[in-house]
Amino acid sequence: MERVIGIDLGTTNSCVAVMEGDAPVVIPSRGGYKTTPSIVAVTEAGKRLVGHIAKRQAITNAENTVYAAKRLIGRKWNSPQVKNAIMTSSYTIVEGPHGDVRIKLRDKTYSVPEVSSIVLQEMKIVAEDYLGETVTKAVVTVPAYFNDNQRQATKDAGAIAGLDVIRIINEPTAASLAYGFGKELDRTVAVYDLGGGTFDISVLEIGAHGVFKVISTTGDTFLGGEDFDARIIDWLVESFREEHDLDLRQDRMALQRLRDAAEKAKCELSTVKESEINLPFIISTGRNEALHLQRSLSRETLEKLCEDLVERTVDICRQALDDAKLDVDEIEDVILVGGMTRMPAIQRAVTDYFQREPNKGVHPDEVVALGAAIQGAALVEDKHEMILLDVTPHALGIMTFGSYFEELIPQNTTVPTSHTKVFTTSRDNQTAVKILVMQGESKKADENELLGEFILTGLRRAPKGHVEIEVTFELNTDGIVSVHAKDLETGQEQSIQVTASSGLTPDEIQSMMSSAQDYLVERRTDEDFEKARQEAETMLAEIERLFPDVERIVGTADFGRDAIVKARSIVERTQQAIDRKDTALLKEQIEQLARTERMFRGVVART
Amino acid sequence: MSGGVKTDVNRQAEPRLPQLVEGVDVRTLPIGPHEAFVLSRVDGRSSDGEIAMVTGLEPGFVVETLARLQQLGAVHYAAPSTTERPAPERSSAPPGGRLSRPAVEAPRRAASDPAHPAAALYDPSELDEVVDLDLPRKRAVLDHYYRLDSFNHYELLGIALDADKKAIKDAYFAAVSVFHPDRYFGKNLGAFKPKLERVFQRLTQAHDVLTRSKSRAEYDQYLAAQRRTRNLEQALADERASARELDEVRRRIEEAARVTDRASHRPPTPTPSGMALDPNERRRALARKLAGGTIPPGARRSAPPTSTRDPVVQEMVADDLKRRYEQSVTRARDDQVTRYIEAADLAQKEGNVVSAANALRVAVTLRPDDEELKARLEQTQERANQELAETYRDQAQYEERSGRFAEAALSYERAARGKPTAQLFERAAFCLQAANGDLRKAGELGKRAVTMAPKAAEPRVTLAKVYVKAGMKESALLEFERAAQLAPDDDSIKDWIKRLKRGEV
Repeated sequence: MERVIGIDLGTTNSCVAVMEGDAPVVIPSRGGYKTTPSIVAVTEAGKRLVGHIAKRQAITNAENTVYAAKRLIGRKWNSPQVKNAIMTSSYTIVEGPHGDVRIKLRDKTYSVPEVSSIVLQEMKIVAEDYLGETVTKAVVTVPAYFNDNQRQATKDAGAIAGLDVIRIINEPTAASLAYGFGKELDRTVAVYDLGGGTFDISVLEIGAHGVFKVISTTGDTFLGGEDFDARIIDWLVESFREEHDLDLRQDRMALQRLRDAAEKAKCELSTVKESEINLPFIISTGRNEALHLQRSLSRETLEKLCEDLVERTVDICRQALDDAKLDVDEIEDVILVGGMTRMPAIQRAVTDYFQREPNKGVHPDEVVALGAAIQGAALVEDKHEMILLDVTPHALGIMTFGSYFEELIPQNTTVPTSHTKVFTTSRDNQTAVKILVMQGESKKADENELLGEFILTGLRRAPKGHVEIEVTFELNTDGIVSVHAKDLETGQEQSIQVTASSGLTPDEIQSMMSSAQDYLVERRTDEDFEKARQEAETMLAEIERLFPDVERIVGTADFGRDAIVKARSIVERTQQAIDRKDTALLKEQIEQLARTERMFRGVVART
Repeated sequence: MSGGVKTDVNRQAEPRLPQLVEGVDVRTLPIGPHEAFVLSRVDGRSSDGEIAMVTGLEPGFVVETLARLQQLGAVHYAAPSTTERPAPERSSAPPGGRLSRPAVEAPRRAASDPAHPAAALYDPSELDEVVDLDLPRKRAVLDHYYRLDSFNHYELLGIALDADKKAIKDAYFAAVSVFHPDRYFGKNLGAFKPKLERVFQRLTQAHDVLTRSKSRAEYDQYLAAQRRTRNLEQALADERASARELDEVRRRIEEAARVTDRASHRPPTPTPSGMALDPNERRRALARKLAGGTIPPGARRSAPPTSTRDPVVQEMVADDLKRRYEQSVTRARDDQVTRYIEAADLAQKEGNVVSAANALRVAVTLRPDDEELKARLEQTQERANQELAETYRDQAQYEERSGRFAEAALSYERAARGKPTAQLFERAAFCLQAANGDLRKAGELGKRAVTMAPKAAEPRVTLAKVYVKAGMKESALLEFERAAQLAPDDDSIKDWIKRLKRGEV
């Protein structure tokens, strides 16, 4: 059976895992890294870079390097989150053709799923190199608090990368799977997941028969490690402005350096009390005078800068327990997920709130990918006894007259589920009704996310309020919402599968898929050529080294001259193949080169 | 003899003979003592009507019960000349053969399986659908799916009424590991998929309700209220039977007075609870006493016990006989009245107000001049109504909270019938319109609420909402405006008025 990989597509880092026998393992990249930065860049030469290499060149190529694309995925152009990102990003964000968001890199604009697909494709390649086989199926994780549009966009990203995303699961839930899988536990746990860009808290029950039941989940998709970094950046920018009266934000390169330095300092301060931030030649003044930034940041200062952020996560924890109708003392273990949970202030806050030391048994950066791999295996293989009962993180409903939001499926409902409500018409002789399917918690429709819409026609002509329309919402385990509307009198009915919108049309996805495929072929060819070139050049060097001796020994004989001419032409053709990047021709020449090399060695050895 | 004739009539009218489905474990069925009693009388030879006769229960109730038992797979009806479903293809049979008469009805494969009591609820061909599920799994899905409506949460999870949280969770998790669609990921489930999802959803609902102490307490109360209203309704159904009972009592009194021994004849008599003594025995004793022990058993009134021909003596004897007859009628009646009052006392002591009222009603009919008795009946009747009303109100409130408005409307209405308060009528009207039920009736209920509490805003708001639903804009506006006068601070009323005036509603 084909293996299913689990991918944690993070805001700042991504990680891939697979089930090996009965245990999941994280797959390291060729460079030996277990996580890959979720960073994509395009170089001046138009070359695409992903991961560590993209991160390393980020400073010099700040405008063409995308980080934290996850914060934009599935968002609409006019959303406040996007407005905020435009202000703080060093890359250029533009409006897409469907009110969606696009990112401009060099001369090309990319959709956000496309950018994410580049990261996913990288993870796919890492897995394929490790497994030695093609991988096409994956379980991908998303923050629990993601709405359906964001989930769909993530699925689309998978499709573009050539992956069939068989299931999207929530990050905290995935973490709990890795924590409790195969251990026959019977307890209630909380998962505190503070990642690079999002915060999630889930309360789960782990019970007999490998059942993991989520009781409640809540979070904030705009609260994460990046916000902590931003506080440090603000602090640095502010002090620099006081000192030099210069705004570092105006310089994108400086901003990128500040970002890196802030992240580095934050991480260091998890283990040490004081961190030096040293950025020489950060900016030059109008008089061409270079300025340096040098500051020392203490853990205490950092904690003060971020105090309210930590407090916000605790408030959200409180909300999650309220939703679960549980008291703090009913939580039997707390699992910390995400790199941010290494911060001592956060560990303290969690310990204080839950009145217990958090669990230290899971790796905060890897646990989510491991859980995704477990879910993937459990779905396709019969041998694993594990069932994940997840909940819908947002209420689902329709817009009713006066732009009100009428809820049909409440928040934290275990899926699969279905709910029905009867509505009536709002105008006399109304013959059609538009059903707007929405998601969110606000009573006002326009504050919620629009998932889709359809029109039920052929209603009986009658005074308003006289035609009854029964609306049924169905939510299956794949997270797909089906909405069914029926005129109770005429029996006229209409239903749709609400495909949440990632902001891309199927055609667009298709064309992005094929260009991703092209890229992959190109990249594979590049790799092949590179390999052949190295091999050929090694032999060429050896042949060149032996040439004078061979000429001296056999140059006088006729057969020798022929052989030398032949060897010369082989070398020449090889050089041409290299220059033309002709992998096929190069491979042909390699055989002949090998023969020539053997012959040359033989001649020299005989004398 | 007459019984025999009746049976024949019944047979002509209703030729259906209920039969027991073999191998059904009655203890696993979600039924009560009444159903079990009816089930115990099913012998494959008695018709519905005959079963009603032998059980002494209302024929309508018996038919209903048998239908339910059939639904549960405990009872089936021997098919007469046409089977409900043609037998699976028998190509060798002659074309007309199938129409004539099947030789023997084959026992239903699934129904005879004791592990699947619901097997008779569905078409066994559903099991033939080719999907990636083995037969036991298919059966498990169908067995659950087709009983979802008759199961309460406890029955669905297969747990005791006093099961603790751990037991509930264990039962749920075990069920989930069978009924969660992810168990069959990527497999073709065909028509089983939606059923599986539906079963899972109900299991989850049961789990969620029962594992939260507050919602469980509410649900338990609801179940108790439902049981009580059912029992009370049952008792009230006895009230309908009380006319029959009264005739019976009158006949008994007459019989007793006629001093005839009919020990050989035993009329089946439903007696109110508390009458422990065998009525036949009492009657025989009464008869002996009235007869002064002189009349030999077997004597008939057609053979008067006198041989004198003197007309005076004859008249005296006749007068005496008449007097003695009247006396004995009075005594027999008093006897019965006392017995019914005793029964009422006992029932009241047991807290069964409805039974007490029923017993008192018989007593009052027998002794219509007794004002004291009449007053007591009224009082008891009032209490019975109130009790029923309260139970219905509890039930209605739970139903309303669960969003089952149609059921809630009915329960509120019943509650209001026993205890007519503005609030109950208002809730009944509200739930009826929320359920999009009969708006005319909702309007009437709303109007009653308004009449009973003219100074309250809420009934008017509800009535107005009914008008809105009915498209009666003017009336709605009027009611909202009156409500606004009564509750000037309520912004939602103002909002309604504004929207009505703008024509937005």
